[in-house]
Amino acid sequence: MLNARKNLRTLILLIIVLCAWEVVADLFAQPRLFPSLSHLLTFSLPSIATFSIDGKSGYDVALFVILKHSLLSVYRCIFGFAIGYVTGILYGLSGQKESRPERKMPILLTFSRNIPLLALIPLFLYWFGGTEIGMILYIAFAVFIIVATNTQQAVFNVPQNLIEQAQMLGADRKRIICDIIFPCIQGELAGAIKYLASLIWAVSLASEYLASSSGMGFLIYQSYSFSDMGKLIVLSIVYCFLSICSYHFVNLYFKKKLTWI
Amino acid sequence: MNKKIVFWITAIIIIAGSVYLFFVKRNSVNNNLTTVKFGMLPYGDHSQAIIAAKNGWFKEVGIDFQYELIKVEAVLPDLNNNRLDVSSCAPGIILSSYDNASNICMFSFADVFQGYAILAQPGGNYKNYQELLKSGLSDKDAIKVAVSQLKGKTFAYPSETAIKPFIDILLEKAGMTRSDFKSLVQDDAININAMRNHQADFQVGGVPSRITLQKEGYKEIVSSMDIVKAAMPSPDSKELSSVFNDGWAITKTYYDSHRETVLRLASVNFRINDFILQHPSQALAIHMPYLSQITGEKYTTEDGTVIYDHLDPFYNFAAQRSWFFNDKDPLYYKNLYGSIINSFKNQHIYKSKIPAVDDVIFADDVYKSLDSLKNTTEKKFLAIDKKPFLKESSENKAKLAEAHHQYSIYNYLDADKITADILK
Repeated sequence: MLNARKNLRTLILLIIVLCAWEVVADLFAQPRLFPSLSHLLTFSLPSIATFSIDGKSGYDVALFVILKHSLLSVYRCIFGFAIGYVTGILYGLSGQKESRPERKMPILLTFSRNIPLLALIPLFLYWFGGTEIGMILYIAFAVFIIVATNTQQAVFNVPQNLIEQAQMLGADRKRIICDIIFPCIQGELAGAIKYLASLIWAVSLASEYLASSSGMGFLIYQSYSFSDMGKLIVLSIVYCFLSICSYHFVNLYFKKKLTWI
Repeated sequence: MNKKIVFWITAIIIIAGSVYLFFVKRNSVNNNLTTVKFGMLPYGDHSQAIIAAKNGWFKEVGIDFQYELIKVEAVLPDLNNNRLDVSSCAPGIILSSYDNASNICMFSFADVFQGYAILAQPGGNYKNYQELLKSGLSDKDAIKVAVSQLKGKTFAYPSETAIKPFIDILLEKAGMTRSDFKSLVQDDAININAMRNHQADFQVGGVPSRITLQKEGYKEIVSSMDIVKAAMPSPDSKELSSVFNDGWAITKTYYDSHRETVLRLASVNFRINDFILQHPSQALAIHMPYLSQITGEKYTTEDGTVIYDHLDPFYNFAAQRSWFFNDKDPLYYKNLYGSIINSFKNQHIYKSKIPAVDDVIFADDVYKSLDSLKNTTEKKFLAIDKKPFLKESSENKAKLAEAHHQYSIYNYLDADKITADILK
């Protein structure tokens, strides 16, 4: 009953926002600058079909174009995430010492973490040109920074007495990492991964924006070049959808995986 | 990790990888052709190579043409990293980055970019240069009056190095400074919206912004071609720095090591330009759908005609002769690029060496080589005509027909080789 009420409230709020948007767009009367919802649906969405190879038009072609470029972005995100996640975890764990009186973040990681990711785009562009590997490595770098930092921090937060007890029972370094530290840091890591699931789309946009000639970032770049607000809004909604999907996927995974927390 | 999860993650990676391979990777078939990796830019004056690619003209000269869409920011890195062999490019990009791109040169030109124009709000009762000329004003006064309309108004323009000389020369001609109007220095795309919501009264920008705004009814006040008409044919001319050629760029290493391929590529470039001039409707039928696809903006045949006729007129082999042989022509390559280099020098662009025109422009060398090969081929054709017995064998007949074909498509290198072979 409470849930139904909450959903109804959300629905009403959404309808109000959409109506307000339509009214403002109508008052503004400049669809190229502030498109109405009907303009978005009837003009901007099908116009994305212009990106199709065979020059066909229509909703089905537009949706196919969005799907194709989304899949390319998903592919880059998956590979970038995989590389960044594995290296981040390994780097984060490598700093682990059984008994360390003063725990500090390694200088290299602190330094890397403070480099603005956007400032690296021209560098990656110059080093790798518009190659796939450049875009994937850019995403991997962003993921690495977040995962490594969170892993390191989570390792610091593992209670020292657990490690000492394991040592007293004769566990070696490998067993301490596998059986004590790794399970202990799962909870903190889950938070970071959930955060990454949404952030990774912003990173993929940045990597594709300047260099790529495919993917969602490319569509955004071209629409921006011609100041096509309608297409930009439609593509932002697609980004939002992708972000929500990836967040829910990760959330579902951790719900099943971390039932013991 | 749960086996099920591992399975699903692997499956997703495999599916995503397959989709990528299906959509992105093109199968390349190499039948003893020289492979050339080409970067196409998403602009009307940088994507005409599609006409040759679709018609199979590269194969006719022995080139396996593998093109891909790239962004203008990637031209220099992709050429420098050898990811691409050739890319469409504007010399201004190389000249303005000469400190970091001294190994890149232009080897063939296609058109003259004359697309800079000040656009005004429609309904603002502004007069353009042409209208002022018709009203009886002299050329000089017409520009002065046209530009004076900016006084007290808001003028939007990007911070691009290449566009600055155009604005500077207009202000100089009108006796104005930047304090006479309110400047709105922003990205081109933002300036389009500044015009739409009346934040700006006037605007100047690159071709995408000009086409977008002109389609929406904004009025052209004065263009770069208006000021170039009266330009002095000299590197000291300030007016000339507001126009430039578009063409194809390579690294100097590639130029030295693939000299024959470069000449063949240039011949295809001339064939495209000639086709655009002789058969514009057929060229547009191939070019505009592709341009629409790579930009996401619908380009009609009418838009294409504006590009071909007004923004970026293409020049064929014969028409380009004057650019390389006639130093009295304002568009003579040393006048044009001398002027642009001087403009960049005055903007303190160069931190180390200031380039000479011949450091970046190799198109003169390619043009003159092709011209020389054309002349020798013609002489060889005459020599063959004087020896009818040479045409008796069916093998020689076929060779001669091939030589004539290659000659007709500007591939003077192979035409010369084949005729030499017949004479031998």
